[in-house]
Amino acid sequence: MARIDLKNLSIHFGGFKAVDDVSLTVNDGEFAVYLGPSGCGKTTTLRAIAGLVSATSGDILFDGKRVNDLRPSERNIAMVFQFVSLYPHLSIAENIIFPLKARGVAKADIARKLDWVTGIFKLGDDLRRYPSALPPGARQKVALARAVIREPAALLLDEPLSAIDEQFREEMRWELGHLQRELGVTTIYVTHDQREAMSLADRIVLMNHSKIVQVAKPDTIFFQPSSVFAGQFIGSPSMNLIDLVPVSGGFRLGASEVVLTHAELPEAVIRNPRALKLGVRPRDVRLVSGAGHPLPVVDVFSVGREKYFAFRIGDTIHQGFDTLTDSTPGGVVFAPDGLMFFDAETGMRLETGRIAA
Amino acid sequence: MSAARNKAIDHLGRWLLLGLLLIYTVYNLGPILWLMISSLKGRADLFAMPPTWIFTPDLTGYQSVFGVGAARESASSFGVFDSLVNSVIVSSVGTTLAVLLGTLAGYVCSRFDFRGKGDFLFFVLSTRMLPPVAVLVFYHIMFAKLGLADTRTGLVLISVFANVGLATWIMKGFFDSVPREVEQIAIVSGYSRLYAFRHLVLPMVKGGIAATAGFCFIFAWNEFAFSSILTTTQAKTLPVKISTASGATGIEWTQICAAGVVLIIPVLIFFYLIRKHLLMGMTFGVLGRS
Ligand SMILES: Nc1ncnc2c1ncn2[C@@H]1O[C@H](COP(=O)(O)OP(=O)(O)O)[C@@H](O)[C@H]1O
Ligand SMILES: [Mg+2]
Repeated sequence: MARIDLKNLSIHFGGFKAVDDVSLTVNDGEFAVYLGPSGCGKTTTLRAIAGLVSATSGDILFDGKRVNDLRPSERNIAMVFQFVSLYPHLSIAENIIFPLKARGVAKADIARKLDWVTGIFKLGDDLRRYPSALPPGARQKVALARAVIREPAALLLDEPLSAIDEQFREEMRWELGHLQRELGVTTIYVTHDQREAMSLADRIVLMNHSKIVQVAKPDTIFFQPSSVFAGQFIGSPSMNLIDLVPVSGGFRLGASEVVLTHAELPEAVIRNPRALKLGVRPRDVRLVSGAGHPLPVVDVFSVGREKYFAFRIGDTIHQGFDTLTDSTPGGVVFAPDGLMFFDAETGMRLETGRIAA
Repeated sequence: MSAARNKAIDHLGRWLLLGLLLIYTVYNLGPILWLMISSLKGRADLFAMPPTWIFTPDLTGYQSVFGVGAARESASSFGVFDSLVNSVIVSSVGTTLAVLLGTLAGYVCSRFDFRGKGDFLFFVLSTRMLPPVAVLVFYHIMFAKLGLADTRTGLVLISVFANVGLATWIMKGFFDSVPREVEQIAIVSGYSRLYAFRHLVLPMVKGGIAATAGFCFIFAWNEFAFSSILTTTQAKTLPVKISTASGATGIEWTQICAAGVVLIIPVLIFFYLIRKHLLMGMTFGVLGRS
């Protein structure tokens, strides 16, 4: 088990910065999830930690020791990839003990460890079979077993569940989280799926355009996103973003006639009136009969038990969570605790001290 | 009414198609059939007009090609057997070397970046674009000076030069289709890249190696331009021999036909053996990762 530090890590491919000045500490035993859109540099970061690509500049430290110059095999980490999890010509058992064979572990030890992981992953019935006989989900389980069997200093997982069927994915996700806590192994998990990140992470490392955007606990990142990007990337359905135009006595909502008065706004927003963006999650927008802002409601729809509505400001459609039971027309109400304010220019959130958590 | 008419047109179309296919088949296979029949005829039957369809098979042509029986020593034999041996040696050694080098080079080009990689790949392919006739004279002089003229070694070198580029490209394609993770898992697990290459990646491109070998072999086997200029007596390959064949008793058509059949057979066998891999090679883009 190890603590991993990245210090000003940059990785360039030719002129392209795939990872740009990233600093991060992953604590011993922590489950850290790298989250970000495709192509933002998550995999590259993970590969650098594994030693599969070398850092252009900056340091990678395991337990305070610089490992930049260590070969992958000397770093004692285990990795699981999204695809090609197993070697088709090796049996399940042979696949699992593959890393032990490399370091010449004694036969008896191999057998003992194989027993141990087989128990954890309930793979007893499959040991003699070949990968092609298993469904993708079970194969990935074997890949995890192979990663865990060597008791690595850290477990690096690159979208290990994204190639698996939806149904099995949920189950595997739960098992994975459970297992990580049980083993207490430092884990860095890469995904572009915010739901996966929210449910697994001790801490989320949000990346965009090769840089770290925010590092925080899932709840913090949800309720106190550092920027418009963080606010919109996390949460589903995604956060509404509405222009706030300063007018006398308050802020106008984009191209509408509706004005949020000073009384409805936090101190930090009133103090320095300028162009802002209002972020509000659909759950914090309701339709209330006989009250609220007169914004045109364009659609009401339900997803199973949940009822949503869509309203329009200018040309933009926004979403709210409908609480009306009848069809009486209503106004749009924003929950005061759910309002987040972002600088229109920088996209950074203003600290207002009124965020629910 | 129109249904009946459609059916009639359908019928007509089918017969038309069948007819065209028949013509195409005869066009393609006719000469080969003719060659095979001729290779079994004695001199008298061979020139009979109209052609005889029923005749006693005469195997002297094949006997002389394979150097068995009395035919080898007979005056009419013009040494086809020696050129068959030359062809087999030159093609198989040349193919082995080209595939070996092409596999290594293809792997490096697939997995590593190095300065001038694009230029290298183009250069390597351009060796195949070269029309041999354009440089034949200079090869002739060069080989004469180097003592490689009329040697199998010389022809092997030519065959390797001509094929290694193609082999590199084909193998690069096959390696590209093997995900890098195959090695990366092994490397992270503590194995060397060489181990991963030999024991994990190579088995996955077995089919590709077979297909590449097939291509190279066929090119080497059919190579004519260089061999015809660079060989005089010792190292003549079968295609060259056939084209210049005449024995003490004039042109030995029976031997030529038998040699022609022998020339075709390895190509058939090779394509038969690699047909599965060829198909796979052609559908690569579609397969994706698994
Ligand atoms: N070996 C490489 N050579 C050149 N560019 C690369 C290489 N590996 C990754 N990249 C580029 O770096 C960027 C980040 O890639 P990656 O780390 O795989 O993103 P993510 O895993 O977040 O989707 C991508 O634009 C990708 O094309
Ligand atoms: Mg990735």
